[in-house]
Amino acid sequence: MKRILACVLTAVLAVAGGGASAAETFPSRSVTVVVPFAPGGPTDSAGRIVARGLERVVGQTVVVENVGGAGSTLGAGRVAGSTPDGYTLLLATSSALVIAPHLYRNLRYDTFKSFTPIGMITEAPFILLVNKDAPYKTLAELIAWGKANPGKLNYATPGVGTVQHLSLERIFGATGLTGAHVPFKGSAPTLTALMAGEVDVVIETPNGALPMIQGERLRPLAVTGAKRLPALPDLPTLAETGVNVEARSWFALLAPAGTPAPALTRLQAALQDALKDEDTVKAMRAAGFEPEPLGPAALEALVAREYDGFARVIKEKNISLGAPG
Amino acid sequence: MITTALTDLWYGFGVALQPHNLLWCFVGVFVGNLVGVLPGMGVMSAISILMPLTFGMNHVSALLMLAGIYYGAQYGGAICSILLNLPCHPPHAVTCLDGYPLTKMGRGGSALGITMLASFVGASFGITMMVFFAPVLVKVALEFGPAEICALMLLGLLVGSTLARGSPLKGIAMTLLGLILGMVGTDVNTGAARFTFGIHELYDGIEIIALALGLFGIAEFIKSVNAVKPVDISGAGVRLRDMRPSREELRAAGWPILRGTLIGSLCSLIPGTGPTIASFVSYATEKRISKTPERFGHGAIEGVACPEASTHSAVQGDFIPTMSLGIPGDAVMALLLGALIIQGITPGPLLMSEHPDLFWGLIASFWIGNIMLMVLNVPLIGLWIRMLRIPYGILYPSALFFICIGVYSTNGSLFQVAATLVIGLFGYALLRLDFHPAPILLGFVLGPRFEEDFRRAMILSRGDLTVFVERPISAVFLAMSVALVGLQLYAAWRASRTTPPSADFHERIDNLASPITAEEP
Repeated sequence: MKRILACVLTAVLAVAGGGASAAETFPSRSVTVVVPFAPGGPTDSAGRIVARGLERVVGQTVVVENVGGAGSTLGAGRVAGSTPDGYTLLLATSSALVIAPHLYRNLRYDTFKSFTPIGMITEAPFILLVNKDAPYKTLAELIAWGKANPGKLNYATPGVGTVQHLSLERIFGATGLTGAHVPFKGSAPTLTALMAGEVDVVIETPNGALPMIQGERLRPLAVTGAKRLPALPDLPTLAETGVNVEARSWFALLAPAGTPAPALTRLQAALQDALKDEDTVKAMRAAGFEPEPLGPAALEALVAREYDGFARVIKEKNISLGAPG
Repeated sequence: MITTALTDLWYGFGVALQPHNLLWCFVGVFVGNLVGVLPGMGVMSAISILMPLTFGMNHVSALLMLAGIYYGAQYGGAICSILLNLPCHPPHAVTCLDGYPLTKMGRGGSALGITMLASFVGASFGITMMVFFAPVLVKVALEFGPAEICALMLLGLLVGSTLARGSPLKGIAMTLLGLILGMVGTDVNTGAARFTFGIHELYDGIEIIALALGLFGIAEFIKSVNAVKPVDISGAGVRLRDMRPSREELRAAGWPILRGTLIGSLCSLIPGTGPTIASFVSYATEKRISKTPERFGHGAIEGVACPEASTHSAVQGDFIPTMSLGIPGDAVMALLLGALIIQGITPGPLLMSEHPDLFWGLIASFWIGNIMLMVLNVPLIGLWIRMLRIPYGILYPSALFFICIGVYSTNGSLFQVAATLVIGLFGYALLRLDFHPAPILLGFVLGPRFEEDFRRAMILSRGDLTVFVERPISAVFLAMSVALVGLQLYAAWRASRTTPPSADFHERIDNLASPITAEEP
């Protein structure tokens, strides 16, 4: 009996001791990064590379959990509702933070009130892609073709209300093109559909697009950033072709609001370190991302700016969920 | 083309037979096999858990191991389906239908033997396709647009509408219920939430594993608990000699295995149509073309052989579009490509030429892995059978425990565990009312793909329904669907003229062989 009691006491003390030390050194157990998209997409790749980088810096396992669906609002909602202890983080993209609030009712989070920024990971422009056998070889030719065949173009996106959807709406609006929106579940099937010639236009981040361009499966027409891509120096930007639209995707790491300051500071520093880590940078470049670390303050400003920008687009184009196409 | 393929394959064996690659391939298939036997523990979670282990590895070993988990799990997956009516993986749910009755008849051992044979044949065919025809098959795969997939799903639903034993009306009702359950969640086309009743966990839809384990495993447990005496399994304790399928059984399984293999290969090529759809469609087809469809559901060996062969050829074939295009066909494939990206290898159309060691090494490892799995599993059949000798009061509660753990591990949500239990209770009610749950799963698996691609095809054709007839592949599927319904109507018309309507026919068949009604107090 005494021995049993001793065992129980030791166990209780061990648990209590573990709890105490957890508060002192963050993190004391594995950290979960929620990627609000299905595995295999660009967000997932970036999330896994950064998770691995963070793992090396903080010395704890960093698990990637994919919680996809509803334009990434499910994953964001999951993190917003989690205990703000720094052990559950969100790999956010513009979808959840600056687009969804204008489209979804009853969101389980508020962009500005539910999250605390940790830092920007990377940002990248999109590449506008068409089928390799398409009759148009430049953006100007695509626009001419589209105007000669009004309403004939089909553009595929990873879902209603995604950055790709809204950006394509803007590009179509600015060029006077018309067509039908074909939503898919994630970006991988949009590339298959473009390759098969089911749809005509897709925009995709460089990491997904470059292998398809190099493999001569898809043809790039333009890049949606402010400057040309180093990997494709001959590919003009939209602005160079006279289309005044800029679109980009970015990945940032956020914690739920109310995360204790020590944990937050540790995570902010850890992210900056991870993004300087040679192996992480190499892995990111191999996957088609350029690390673009930004501190929490700069990230917050960017979010505020894009939040208003997308509000305007959605209002102008009259986009809503629940309406066809 | 064939000679270069053989040279490349030879080179691949050189890569796969390097000691470290061989070791990791073994680790992969072994872990996969274990994961396969555990109810509910999915391939996705197993791969995600083991992925960090691959970071320090050479990229070939990493891929061989992770791929090994995927196809290794399929070997283990059939075991509990046949012995305990517990579909540990969705593709094997359909194996329960005839596998479990076979166990009750004391032929569980030979059912497992046939399963292993069917698995090996199916997998071998899938691999052979990948070696010789990958570039051609990718072109075929790209021919399957929304209209084609939609027509194929329609055909699958029609073929499968008689999946259940017993009353056809009840079967159709269950299929419709499955379709409704499949609609739960966020609509892809509009982003609107459907049938979620404000429960946020339902935005992702109902997990298929929760549905399969609930309707089959848990419902069966509750039924057994309620029975006066437990299912008599003493007959199931067989000797090694009895595990060898009889010549007669082998002959009965031969064609079904080949048909299953072909259906599995076809399904694997169509993006997003994995082994689960393949096994359901092949079972339904087999029952449909069988001369004695009434035996299905009461222990027909074909009902085990065909879906298992189909699952395995679909699993291997799954790698074709993924590896040749660099675009993942389903979530597991996405995870494997993700592992490559982290290794610094960019999957894409050039993967095959830029990393031949990876591509051909992987294919060679498939053969090696499948042989390892045969060697691992065939001697173990006796051990698995002995599992049935474990007293009822210990076996089922522990299985229930593993179900809960497994479902929880799928996406770390207690909601899914509760959902599984609730579905189990519901499944029990259905069993008592003599509704068979298999068509629910069929509707659930095929329905969402049907709807999604129907609406996508409608957007692309600007609402013009003729697109389904104009496109040749979809027209063929539609013609087959029409022929199927026509034959059914014709048969019904003839039956009503020649013989007096026998309303109690199905009932009689059911009472003859169904233990469900026979055992009840």
